[in-house]
Amino acid sequence: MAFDAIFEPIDIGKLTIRNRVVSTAHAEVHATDGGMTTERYVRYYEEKAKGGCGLCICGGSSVVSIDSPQGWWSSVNLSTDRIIPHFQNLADAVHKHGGKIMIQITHMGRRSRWDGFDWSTLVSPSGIREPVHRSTCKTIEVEEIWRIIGDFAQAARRAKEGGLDGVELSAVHQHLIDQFWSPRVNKRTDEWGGSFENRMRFGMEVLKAVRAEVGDDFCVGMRICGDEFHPDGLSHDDMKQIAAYYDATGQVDFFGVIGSGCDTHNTLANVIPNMSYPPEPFLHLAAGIKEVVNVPVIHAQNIKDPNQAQRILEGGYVDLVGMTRAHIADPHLIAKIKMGQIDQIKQCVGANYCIDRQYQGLDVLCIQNAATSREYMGLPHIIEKTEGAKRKVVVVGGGPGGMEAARVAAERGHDVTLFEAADALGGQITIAAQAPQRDQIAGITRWYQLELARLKVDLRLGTRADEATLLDLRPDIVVLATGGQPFLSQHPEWGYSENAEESLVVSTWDILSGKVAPGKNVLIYDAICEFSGVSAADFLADKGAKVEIVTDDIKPGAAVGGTTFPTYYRSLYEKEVIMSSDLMLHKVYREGDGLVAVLENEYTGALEERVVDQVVVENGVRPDEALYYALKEQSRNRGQVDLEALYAIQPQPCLSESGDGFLLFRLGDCTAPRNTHAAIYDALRICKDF
Amino acid sequence: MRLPKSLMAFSLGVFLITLPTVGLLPQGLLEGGSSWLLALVLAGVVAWGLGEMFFGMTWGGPMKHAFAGALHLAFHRRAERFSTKKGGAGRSTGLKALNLEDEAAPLGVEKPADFTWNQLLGFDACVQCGRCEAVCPAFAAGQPLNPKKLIQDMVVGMAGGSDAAYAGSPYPGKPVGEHAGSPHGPIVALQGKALVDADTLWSCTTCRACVEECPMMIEHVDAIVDMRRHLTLERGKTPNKGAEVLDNLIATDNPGGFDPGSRLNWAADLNLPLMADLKQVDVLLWLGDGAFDMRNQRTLRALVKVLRAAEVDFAVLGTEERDSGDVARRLGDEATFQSLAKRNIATLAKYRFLQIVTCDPHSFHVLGNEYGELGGDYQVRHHSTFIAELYEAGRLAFAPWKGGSVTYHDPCYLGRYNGEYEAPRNVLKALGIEVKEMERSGYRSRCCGGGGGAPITDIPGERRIPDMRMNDVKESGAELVAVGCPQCTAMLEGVVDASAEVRDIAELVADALVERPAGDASDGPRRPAATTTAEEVTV
Repeated sequence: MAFDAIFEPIDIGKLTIRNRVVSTAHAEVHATDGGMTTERYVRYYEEKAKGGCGLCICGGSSVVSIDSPQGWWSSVNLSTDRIIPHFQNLADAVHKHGGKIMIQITHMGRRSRWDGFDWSTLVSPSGIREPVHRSTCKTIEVEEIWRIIGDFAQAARRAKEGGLDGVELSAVHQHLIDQFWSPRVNKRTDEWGGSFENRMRFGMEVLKAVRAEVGDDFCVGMRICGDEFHPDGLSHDDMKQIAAYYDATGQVDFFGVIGSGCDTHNTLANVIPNMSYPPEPFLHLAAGIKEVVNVPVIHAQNIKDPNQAQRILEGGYVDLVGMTRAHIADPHLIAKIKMGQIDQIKQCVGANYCIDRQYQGLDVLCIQNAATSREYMGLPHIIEKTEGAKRKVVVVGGGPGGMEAARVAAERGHDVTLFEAADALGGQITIAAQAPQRDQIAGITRWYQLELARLKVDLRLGTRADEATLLDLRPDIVVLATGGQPFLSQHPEWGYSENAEESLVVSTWDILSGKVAPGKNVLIYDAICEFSGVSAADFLADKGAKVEIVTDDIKPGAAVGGTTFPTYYRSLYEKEVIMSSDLMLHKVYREGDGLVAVLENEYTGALEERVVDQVVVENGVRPDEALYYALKEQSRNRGQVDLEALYAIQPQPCLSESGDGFLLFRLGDCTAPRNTHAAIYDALRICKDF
Repeated sequence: MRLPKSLMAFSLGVFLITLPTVGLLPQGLLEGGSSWLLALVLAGVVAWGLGEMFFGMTWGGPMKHAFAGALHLAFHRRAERFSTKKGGAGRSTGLKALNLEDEAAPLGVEKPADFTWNQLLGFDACVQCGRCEAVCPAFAAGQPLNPKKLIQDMVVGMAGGSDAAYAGSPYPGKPVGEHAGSPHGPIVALQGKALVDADTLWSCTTCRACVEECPMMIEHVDAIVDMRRHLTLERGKTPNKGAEVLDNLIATDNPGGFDPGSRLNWAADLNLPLMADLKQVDVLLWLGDGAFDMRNQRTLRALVKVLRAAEVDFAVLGTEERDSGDVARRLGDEATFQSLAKRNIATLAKYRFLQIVTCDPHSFHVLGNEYGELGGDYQVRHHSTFIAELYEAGRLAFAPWKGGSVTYHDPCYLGRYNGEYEAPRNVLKALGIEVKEMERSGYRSRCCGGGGGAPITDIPGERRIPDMRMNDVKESGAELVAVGCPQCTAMLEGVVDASAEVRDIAELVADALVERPAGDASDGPRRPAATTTAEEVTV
């Protein structure tokens, strides 16, 4: 049977898991309300269980003590008995679909922030500052050590009383347990530091206390890293020694293993490998740990595809695979495998929109699936067919918003035509995918292509829709998602002209799409600091250009998320791209065969010049509004979206009003430049009631 | 054209002889000197006509069919077909067991003379009406089988000779005149050609459409399986995936070669009660080998949901269950069939249950009709029958049907083999579905192509049987075809660009379940099915 390795049940401790796929612990950042799990939280996990996921380990970095601040990432608060009834709701919701659910519990030690909420004094074995969160901390005292050990035990009791199936002790991501383990952070000379046994002591006392509290019938696992990748940190051999040491107690029911520490920006990027990484880059570390322990090993990191999961499990490298981002992209992943609908799985592309929001303390959302974590609002993962009239829906624009609009309308059972001026679907995704290490973003388009074909949407590629063509189709609904154009005309001094011969500047789109050949000596002015600027820099440097990327912001790529800017920087520094900040592009003029870019220091006003042969400007998108205004007055709703209905995920009132003519909606960048998720979210919430 | 001539000779002779008696001709006409000659001639004509008819009964003469047909019916191998006592109205569809203890006995039929005398009579009874040919799915698919020709080839084989004189449609792709045989020569040649080719025998889906249609009650399927038994057991010549499947059955007790311990993997989250724990239940749920198939697992999960909704006291054998032996038997491997059957019977003997329920008509047929000869007698119900009973007893309630139009495909092993045409339709009716019948439905249903190991032996044709069946579905105008067989589901779902969705009846029922109104008829408290239940069972 295909995928038999995935669907072989496994016992973890005394718990039977129905298959080998796990949604591993991650901060959801929506366990709001003082750390009590909410309806949103429950529905998010229920959807995974409904979709067939074997085991969910929820609550990444859920805290056991009040001095491990809960509020920054809205993690679950297990420091109080108030959590118990909330867990009962969560457990029931998952169990009724045959899933199992555990929670990760931790004390984060120094890996947090102190400047808010209770203004906690963070603790750490030796009081050494943590760089990623810029967090200073005190050297923990023995009394505090024993208090926290007791807190772990009580937290585990609360999980058990709440009906959860187990707890995972976090000894990963350099939280307090592994802060004690690592000589990089633990410089103590008392019985809690120094020798191997002493460094192990805190974690061992936690394990013993937890096990004593919950007994043998409750699952207790540990999540560890397979190699910290710090020269002064724990190596793979150290981690094998540690895993074997804890395993020898017979009190650990499973190990979750990931690669890399994360207390620098660069190592942090390893932990949730983005699209620039190969598949399962750190599987060998988990396999190494599996060699030395006698209980099941879970590994998650860039496992997104059912065939990949089957291969890993079949090979026996680990016992369970974490497919966490894969489930954020598609919580019905397992169900679709079982239904023989592999092609319908919305596969994670590693854009890391989810985790990059999380690191900013924002709720975890998927770049391409707007229903994820909005289940509680009634946004559906499976679109039901309408019971009402079948409508003629015309979508203009084949970017993410247009593709989602066409998909949702077609799933509703309507007759859908989609116009795209280019020869292929994708819109700006197609351009973004041209950059080195960014090709996988095109996976978003690939899924839509398959879905639109399956749903038999009439695709008019290479066709620019005008007013007459649209009206000829006698549409009931027109959705405009026509995007926009690079906004190079904002400052006349930049010398932009629509005539390519005369224009002194080109856009990042021109470069990435191949419309304009790369120069030899290029200045990129990036006013936006998101992906396009650094992508163009990486692309040009890759083609052999000498590149300087300049921004008036604090650093090029400053708005690229925490797990992705490091992979750009690795590439840009390696290719000797110069990154300059605090400079505005004042003016561009031609001098001989070359161009002179005049830059102005934002803080001093001082001007400096660069002599180059190409100036690339990234200044965001100007909406393409022409078609909208051509249609607006003729439309029944004059193009207006009812915001109250939109935000409440209710049907647009105009859909149920009768009348002649068509309804007009616009979404995505042709309204205002936002991002992929925004376009897809608007498309879903407007079109789901068509 | 011998019958008209002999009849004419006989009747004209008698007629002329009697003319003088009735006075139409002079009385002395046959009494005079020369009249003796006329009398002799007339007597000769009468004797020839009579002899032609009488002796021709055995020598391939004109009265053969009447004579052999009468004898065939009088000594039919399945006398039960004339009785209404067992298995409904004259139903007898279980294959006959081979005696494997007798070392001297041949295994299956190698040559025409190996058939039993009443089987041979059956071949002689054939009047070549062609009704079997008209309904045979393999023939329609252009596979090299035509049941009418096959029976005629057996007739040729008994007499010895070639098929050159056969005037009907040949086996598709095999012109007449190239095959010949004799009573004691092999039917299938070791090399080259004999009476029939092996691929003719392996094209049959054992759907029994031919048997159902035959006015002379000839048993085509029995004959084909007898010949397959020889090919498989004596020659080891099961084609294509056949040998692999039989090896799998021998090694793993299931045709797919799956780890036998994984039979219950699909239900890891359902906490199914096991017979080994309970020992005694009302219903033993027989899973069948669909337990290894991801598609059928959905049907099984739906069925579990239905049983739990009706608070049925049930359990499964789990990993103690083995393949029923159906496919081994149809592929001619009687030894593996009997081995599986005997071990299943021994397992079942350990437990007490009122009835077996299964969603697999093949298991249903084999357990109900073919285990008896080996000592296993059970009350077996197809799930559609059982669900219909549960509904009638008020133990299930359904939300109104909101889907589109539905047709129903009768599985051969449920319908023609076991006469169950009503229960599935009653269930669909209870769901609020008005079935749009296909032209070929009920006892004339067209096979999906999945029976008799046909997908395993995979004899090429010009088109695929399931494609034709889905075309039948399309012509009915239905958007959904309800089925009641894992094999049919697999075959029909395998059709590319099908116009209709394929759902098992259990899935339709599970989707429609609603809470029973309080105080509704339900016979007494039931044992709780399990401590936890998986509410959402479709995945």
